[in-house]
Amino acid sequence: MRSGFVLSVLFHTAIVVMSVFGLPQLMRPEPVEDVPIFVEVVPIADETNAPPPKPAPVVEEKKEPPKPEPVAKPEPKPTPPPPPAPEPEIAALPPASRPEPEPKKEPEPEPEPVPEAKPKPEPKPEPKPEAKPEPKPKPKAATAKVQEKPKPPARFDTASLLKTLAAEKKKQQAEEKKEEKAEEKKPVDFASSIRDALKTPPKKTFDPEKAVSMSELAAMRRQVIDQVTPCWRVNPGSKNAENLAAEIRMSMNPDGTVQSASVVDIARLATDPFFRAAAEAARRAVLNPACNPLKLPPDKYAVWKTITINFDPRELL
Amino acid sequence: MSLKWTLRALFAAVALLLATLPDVRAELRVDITRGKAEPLPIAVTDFFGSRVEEGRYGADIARVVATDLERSGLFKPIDRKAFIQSENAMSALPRFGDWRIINAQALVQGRVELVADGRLRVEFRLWDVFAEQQMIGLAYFTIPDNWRRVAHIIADAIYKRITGEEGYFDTRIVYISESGPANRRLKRLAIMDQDGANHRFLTNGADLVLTPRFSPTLQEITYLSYYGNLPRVYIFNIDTGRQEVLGDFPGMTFAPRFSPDGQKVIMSMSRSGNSDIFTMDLRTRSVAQLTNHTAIDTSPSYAPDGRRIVFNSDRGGSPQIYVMNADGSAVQRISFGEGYYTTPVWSPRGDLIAFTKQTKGRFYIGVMKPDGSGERLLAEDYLVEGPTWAPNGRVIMFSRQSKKGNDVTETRIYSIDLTGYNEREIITPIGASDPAWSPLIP
Repeated sequence: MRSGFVLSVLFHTAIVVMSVFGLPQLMRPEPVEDVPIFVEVVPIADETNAPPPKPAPVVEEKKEPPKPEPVAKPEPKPTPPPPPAPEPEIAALPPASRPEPEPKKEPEPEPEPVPEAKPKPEPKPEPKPEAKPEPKPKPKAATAKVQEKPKPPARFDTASLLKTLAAEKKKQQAEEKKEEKAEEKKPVDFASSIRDALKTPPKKTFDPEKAVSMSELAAMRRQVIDQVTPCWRVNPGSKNAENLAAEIRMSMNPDGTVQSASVVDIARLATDPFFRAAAEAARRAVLNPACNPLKLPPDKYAVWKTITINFDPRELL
Repeated sequence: MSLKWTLRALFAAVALLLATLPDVRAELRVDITRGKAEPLPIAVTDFFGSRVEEGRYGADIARVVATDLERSGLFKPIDRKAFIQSENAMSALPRFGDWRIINAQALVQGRVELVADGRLRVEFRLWDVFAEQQMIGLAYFTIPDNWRRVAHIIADAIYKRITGEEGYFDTRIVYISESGPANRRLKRLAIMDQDGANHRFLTNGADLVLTPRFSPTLQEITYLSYYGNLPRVYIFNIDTGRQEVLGDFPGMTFAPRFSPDGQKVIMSMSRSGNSDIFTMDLRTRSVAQLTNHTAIDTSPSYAPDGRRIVFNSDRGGSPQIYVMNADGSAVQRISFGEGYYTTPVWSPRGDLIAFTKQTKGRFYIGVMKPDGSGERLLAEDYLVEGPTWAPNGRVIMFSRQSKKGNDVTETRIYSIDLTGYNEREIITPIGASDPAWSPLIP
C-alpha cells in the first residue's frame, strides 16, 4: 500500500519534471544527419571535423598491404605483368570423375563437372601487379583533386600551390591536407602552417557522430549512384526480374577503391540461379575498374568505410 | 523493497534504451534502380589443343560458342585481335589483369583433346574476371563429328550461368521451305540447327505442308499435309522418315500441336464449315472434343503445365484469343485490343502468350500475359506471323514479308528478343516460313 503510494508520487513527480524540462535523454533527436549549420550541397571539407591525426598515417599503411582482392593499387601500371606461376591444381586435373564411356550413345556429349580451379582462397602468385586496373588517374591524384575543390579558403590554396609547385609536391596534397589539420605540417607547406596558426587552438576532435549533414550524405549517395550506374548491366527480359534486387556490401579503402565486395544474401545465392546471376552482375558493377575508385570525400572515410548498395531492377521493367 | 526494484528496473530500461540507439552511421546505404541493358563483354579464347587437329577443333568450337552468345544479344564477344593473353593450356590461372585491360568481364577458356578411343574430350572454364573466380567448369566427351553440338552445349552452360536462364543454343528449327512462283509454290518440310547449320529437307514437296510443330521428345513432328488433296494432320518421325495420318476424322484436321508431355496432339477439326478443338491421345487413340461452338475455334496451344489451353476463336464476332481449362471448361476471352488476334502460343516459361495481330492493314507479333494484360508488340511488317518460342521463353521466331514498292519480298524467318530488341534474320537457303523451335535436345 505504502510503496504504491510512494511509487505514485514518484511517477507523478517524474511526469511534472519531464513536462518542465522535457524528456532529456530519451527523446533527443540522435545527432544524426541533421545538423542545421550546413550551407553547401557538395561534399564539404568540414574544417572543424577532420579525422584525428593518427588515423591518417594508419590509413595510409592500410593501403599498402596488398589484398587478394582486385584492389587498385597505386603501383605504376606499365609494369609488364610477370607470367603467372603454373597452377598445379589445374594441371593436375583429376580425370578420375570421368564417367566411363557409353560406347553406343557416343553422339551424346557427357557433362562432367571439372573440379573448381580453387581460385579464391589461394593467394594468387602476383596479386599486386596483376590487380592493376585500367589506365586510370592515380588514386592519389584523384583524391587530391577532390579535396582541393571543397576547401573553403581558396586563396590560401592558390598561395600554397605556388609554393608547393616548386617542390612539386602536388600529388601529396591529399596527405598534406589531413596533416595540416593534424598540425604536423611539412615545412614546405606554407599555407597550411598559416592556416594552422590562424586556427584556434581548441583542436578539432574528430567526431564521427556529428559530422555528416543531410546534404553531404545525399551528395555521397549521388556520387556512388552516378559512378556505379553506368557499370550495372541489367537483364531486362529475365523472368521475375522484379524480385531480383540484390544487395552488395563493400568494404572500402580510403582511396575509394573497393577492398572487397560480397553479396549480402548468401543463402539465396546458392538456391536461386536467377538471383545469383543478378547478384553477380551487381558485384561486377562495383568491381568494374571503369567505375571503381569512388570519388568520396576522404575526410569522411568513417562514413563510407562500408557501403551497401541495393541494386533493384524493378523500375527497369 | 519493491520500490528499489522498480527503480532498478527503470534505470536498467533507460540504460538499455540508450545503449541500443541505432548507430545510423555504421554504413552508407545506397539504392541503385537504373542500369544499362548492354551486352556483357566476354572473351572467348580458342580452345587449346596440343596437336594441330585438336587445335583446329578448339578454334572451331570457340567460334561457334562466341557466335551463339553474340546472337543472343546478351553478350558481346571481344575481338580476339585485342587479346593480350592468347589461348593457353589452362595449366595456369588466367592473367586477369590482361583481361580487365581489354574490358572483358567474363572469360572462356577451353581445351580439346583427342583421347585414345578416338573420342573428343572438350573442357572449358568460365571466369569472372573482376572477381577472379571460376564460375563454371565442365568437360564433355563426344565423337569428333559432333563438335558443333558440344559447342552449343557449352554456349548454353555459359548463358545459363551468367543470365540464370536456360540456354537455347542446342536446339533445332523445323520450318516450311518455299520456292517457285506463287501459283505453283513448292513447300517442303526442312530442319536445321538453331544457327542454320546442318540444314536438310524432310519432304520432297509433292504435297503442300503447313504448320509443323515439334514433339517434346524431338523425334517427331506434327504438321498439316494436303496429301491426296485432303488436308489432314500427320506425324513425321525424323529418325525413320515415316509419316502417318493422325486419326481417322470425318472432316479436315489442322493446326496441330503436341501437349507438353508429348502424349497428346491438340488440333482443330472442321466439319461443314464449323471448326472445334479436339485432342487425341497418341497411345490410346481416343479422341476428346473440347469446344463445341458454332464459331471457328482453332490454333490451340497448351500452357507448359498442361492445365490450360489458349486458342483462337471468332465467337465474339472477330478472331480473338481465349483461354480455357484443359477439359474445355471456363472459357474466357483475354484479348481486347483493336484488330484481329490469331495464332496464340503459350510461352514455355508460362508467363506470356505470343500472338499475331492484324490491324489497319499491318501485321504485328506481340506478347501478353495469360490474363490478357501487359500487351506489347515486338515486330511489325506487311506480313509477320506464326510466332514460336525458344525453349527458355526468351526469344521468339516468326516469318516475315516486307513490301518494297509494289513488290513483296520473299518470306524469311526472323528472331527477336522478348524485350523487342535484337532482331535477327535466320539464314535459310531459300524462302522460309512457319518456323517451329524445338525444345532443348536432351
